[in-house]
Amino acid sequence: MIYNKDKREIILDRKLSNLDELVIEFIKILERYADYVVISGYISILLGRTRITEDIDVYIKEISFERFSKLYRELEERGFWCINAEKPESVYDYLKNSKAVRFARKNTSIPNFEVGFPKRDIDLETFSDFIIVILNNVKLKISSLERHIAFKRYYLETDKDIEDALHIEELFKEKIDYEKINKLKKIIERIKKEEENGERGRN
Amino acid sequence: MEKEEEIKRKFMKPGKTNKEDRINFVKFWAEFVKTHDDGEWSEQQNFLINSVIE
Repeated sequence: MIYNKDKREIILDRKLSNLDELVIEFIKILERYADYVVISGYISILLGRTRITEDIDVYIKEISFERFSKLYRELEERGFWCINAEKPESVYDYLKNSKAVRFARKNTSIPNFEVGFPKRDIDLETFSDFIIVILNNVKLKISSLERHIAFKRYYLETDKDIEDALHIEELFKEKIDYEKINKLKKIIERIKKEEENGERGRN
Repeated sequence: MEKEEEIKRKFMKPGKTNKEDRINFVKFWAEFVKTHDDGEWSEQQNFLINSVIE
């Protein structure tokens, strides 16, 4: 595994797991219709963490309903279904109302892809500093390592999330921008306070 | 020969609590990932993932 910080690129020569193959299949469809970034747990797993997951979290930049309908149709044709609703109008409404929606292989519910539009500025910024993982000639966009660590450590905070962050810190400790993590930490702390006060809703 | 292998082999320090033990394992495994080919660590990891996800 080679991380080129300046190029924001990780070259990974891993053997693909069944989960990786599913992610690649889904992303290949998704990227034809929307700009995306994979966030959260799958990043740690892709980069070696020894755990499994029930969902792969993905941000997509907001798209029109027309475009979403085409994406939805192709996902259906290629063997996926939406767990949240049947009609694309309903699924799109969820997205527009800041709800994430989940897609899985037909006749299954896990693993699934939790897809959402970014809501806050900090979520949108995920698109400005993402990393490309070159995985056996396939390119996957993931959130920056600093953003990944900050959200795991200071927003999600469960033992599992802290271990996910630790795995990345241990792997790339010489290349991680800790100043950037601290800046993100302050923003996250402010968001959490606002959420506690009911100013913003976020699951 | 055995002594050389002992020197090369890395051991994990057991934790005093379950939480500490898990943290120690995360560090131990990350070190393995850092120091081994992607093909080698991913083969072990896939054993876990593919046992759950078909």
